[in-house]
Amino acid sequence: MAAKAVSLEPQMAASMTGTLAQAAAGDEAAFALLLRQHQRMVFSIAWNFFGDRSAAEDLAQEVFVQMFQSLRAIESDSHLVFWLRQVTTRKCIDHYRWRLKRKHIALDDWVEEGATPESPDHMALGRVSNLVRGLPEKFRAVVVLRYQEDMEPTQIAASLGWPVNTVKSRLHRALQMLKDRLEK
Amino acid sequence: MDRMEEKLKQALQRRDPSPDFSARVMARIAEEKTRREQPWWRIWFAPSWRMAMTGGLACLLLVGAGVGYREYRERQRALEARDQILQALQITGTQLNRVNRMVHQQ
Repeated sequence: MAAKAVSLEPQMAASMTGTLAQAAAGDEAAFALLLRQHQRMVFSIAWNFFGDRSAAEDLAQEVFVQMFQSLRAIESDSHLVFWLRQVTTRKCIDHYRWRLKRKHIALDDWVEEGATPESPDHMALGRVSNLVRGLPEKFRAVVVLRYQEDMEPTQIAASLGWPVNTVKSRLHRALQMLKDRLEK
Repeated sequence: MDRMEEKLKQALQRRDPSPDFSARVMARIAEEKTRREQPWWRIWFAPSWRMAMTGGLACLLLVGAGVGYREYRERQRALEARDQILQALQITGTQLNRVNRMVHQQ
């Protein structure tokens, strides 16, 4: 699942910083620094995908263990961000399919943390999050990367290895589904 | 950007994991590092391997003991058979001597 440098965008070709190089050389403090820098992003992708803190933290943990094993293959800070988004999203899709297969969950069983929102705004946003989690996994991945990570369709396509038009069409259909469900 | 997209941006904002998340990950990493650094033969000393080895040795001992007992029983039977043959030969010899004496007396 290692991301190849060839597929990186030009702005991702930045040089490897000292921290990344130190972590790749086995420096645990440097790795801890990288972990703290990126844990919010990785956890949030998993959280927005599953809406389950424990599942999201387990998955994020797996991603960082894999990152530790793959540090030598990561060429720059921007490559690291690209790699983390790619691996996290793919793991989310795989894990979701695995859980569905095992019938541990049903789509309607997802519970938003803090199920008693304080304001109508919170309630509306909670509803939007739940609707996102009700989307098919590939649509959900596109929506999370687009609106959480603010990625362009071309970046999402490079990250997930899908054609740009597929990403655009999935995004369009996802938005349409969300609008339809929100109006109901 | 339309209203729906604005809502999505707000709803899907980043959030923090639990405060002990990084500590848990670092503990896993330390475990991983130890596992990678230990020489391959150290696996034989891992508890799971130790248990498997103990089980294997117990099985070997049981099989060995079974084979040994079978050999012992066969040897015992061979010795008993030899004793019986010797006894039979002795009886036959005694009988022959008696017959021989009777023939000479007549």
